[in-house]
Amino acid sequence: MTIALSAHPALNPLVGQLTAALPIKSLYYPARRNPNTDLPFFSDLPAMLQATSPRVCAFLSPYADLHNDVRTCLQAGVAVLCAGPVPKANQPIATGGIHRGSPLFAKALQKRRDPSFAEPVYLRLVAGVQEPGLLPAWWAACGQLALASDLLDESPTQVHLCANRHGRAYQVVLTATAPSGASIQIVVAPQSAIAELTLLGRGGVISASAAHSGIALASAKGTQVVPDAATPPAELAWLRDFLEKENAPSEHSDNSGQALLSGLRRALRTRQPVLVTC
Amino acid sequence: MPNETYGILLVSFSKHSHQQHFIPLYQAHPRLRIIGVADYPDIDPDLCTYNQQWAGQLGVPYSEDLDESIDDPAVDIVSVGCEIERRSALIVRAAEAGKHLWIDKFPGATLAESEASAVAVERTGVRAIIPGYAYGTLAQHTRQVLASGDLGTLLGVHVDVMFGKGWPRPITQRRAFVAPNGRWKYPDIKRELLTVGAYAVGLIQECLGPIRHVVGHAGAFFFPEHGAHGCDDFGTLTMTDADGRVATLCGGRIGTASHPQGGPSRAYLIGTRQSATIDAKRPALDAYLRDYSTGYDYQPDPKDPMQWHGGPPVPTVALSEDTAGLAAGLDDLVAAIDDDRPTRYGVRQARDLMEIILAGYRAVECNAAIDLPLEQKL
Repeated sequence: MTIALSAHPALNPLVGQLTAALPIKSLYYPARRNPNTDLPFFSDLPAMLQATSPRVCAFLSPYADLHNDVRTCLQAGVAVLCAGPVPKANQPIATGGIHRGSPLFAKALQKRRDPSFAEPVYLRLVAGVQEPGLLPAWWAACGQLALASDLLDESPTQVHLCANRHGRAYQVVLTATAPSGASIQIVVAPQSAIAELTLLGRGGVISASAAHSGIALASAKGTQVVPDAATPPAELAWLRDFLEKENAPSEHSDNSGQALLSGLRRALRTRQPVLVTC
Repeated sequence: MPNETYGILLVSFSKHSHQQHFIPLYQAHPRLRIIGVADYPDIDPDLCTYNQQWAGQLGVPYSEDLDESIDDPAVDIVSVGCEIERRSALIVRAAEAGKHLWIDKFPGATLAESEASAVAVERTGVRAIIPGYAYGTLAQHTRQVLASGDLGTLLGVHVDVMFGKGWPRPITQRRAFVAPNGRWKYPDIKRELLTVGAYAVGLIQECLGPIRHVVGHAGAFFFPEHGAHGCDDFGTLTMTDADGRVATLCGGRIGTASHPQGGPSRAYLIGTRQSATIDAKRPALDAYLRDYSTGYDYQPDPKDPMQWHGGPPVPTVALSEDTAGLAAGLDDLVAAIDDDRPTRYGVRQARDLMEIILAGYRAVECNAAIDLPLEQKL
């Protein structure tokens, strides 16, 4: 079993963690920039497929021609999984669901299902993007909405979407009500490190903050919080789960991701909340 | 005359106001003296008794002749603590008498009343302050971050303000949402998106430009009392300003002993270069005392089930003695009178705040985005 990754250079630390634990043999990304990694790097997908013959290709970052590359992999008999939705995908592939491999999500879900928590009333998520740009912001929004649905055990049918940008720095805001009446507010920020979760229930509050969960480094200028590297990345469990299930699509690419992308573009254009049906 | 002392008339200790909490501030301020207590003659007998008790405790006269009390030359400032429905008329009357104003939160129950208050204050040139929004730790830290320029361009602000009070229970009845239409309180509940969410809106006003679109949600409940009335004990708003910047907030009453500091009070400032997480109740000290953790009876007093006038002990205490910023607000009012300048947060901003919240309630009612400005008649 050999695996190929496709990831933006911003994910180099993650690629390193995954490579240390899985038989990853190559890295592909459609850019000329040298990703500064020990893995054999390719900016040409057919060349990578021919040189390393992977069984699986995991796409961790979005880009404009992703759907074409996914199609190329599938036509070559390479199983595909994607960290986010694939626009224009013409056949089912495994997408999203990375949060299910996160220890934080697992613990939050466990506490959420504790009878003492009672019914959820409000969920606030603030999350960052892996890199600047519209598509990463969209993937992050989709990922957070999926996390919210899994944590609440229910999905909103409509969301109000707001977005703005300055250069390639995007902010995306989703607001929704779940069928139970629980309110959901999701913020996607341009910075990758931000990660906040607050879930209110009638029985209490579940919360986590990256600002309080990292390693505090004190210096003359103040205290800086850096993420810990000991906790396995959620992507590792996500990839392992895919491999163990013999590459079965765990989640189909559906229209909701596309609807969010269209809504996002409309919200950026109109500068006001737009209603999106999921 | 910077050494002059200003006389304050306390108008009403209604149970939904914070008048009693202002008294220590007034008493501690070297430039202020409490002159008297007054209220309308047709108030609830219990409130009348309560007013009289406070007057006796403060050693000042109690009057049911508001006009005479306001016109007393010894009165420089009127501290407005009456019910929200009576505030605008009182503010207009006091402003026309040339008295400065300390106003507990909203300057009217409707947009029209709030506008009347703002116009009266602007026309008469008196100084007025709504102290609850722009002076606390959350606002101070936010200003500090914005002034530093570290965020780059501000894209949005997201604020969570919640009161860890009351005792949530299963929702036995879920009445359809009832629009406020100027009614903000019932004998057993208050509208909490207004009451608590206003603090978040105040901060958003500090950060963004004029709000143009608002979306609201208020369909979930912590308390059966609110569910039965179809009134919010918790709500969320999402809004965009004229430049397309985005703000969200949640505000409400979430139940006792659910947070180490009596309820989250946080802001997330999202910038192009950096984002900031600000906690209004930090810096703080953690004190996990076994007797409180295991032996304290957290059940609210049956006479105050929603804990409007109290709350349980908290294990994490803010270091600031003035997290709400009331003392800073009082200093600003005195300085504004001395220097004949506006306060940082006056009646015009409070009128605009009411407009945003009213738009939010209408958005909840219509399940749609509402455009501002609203019609004045609301």
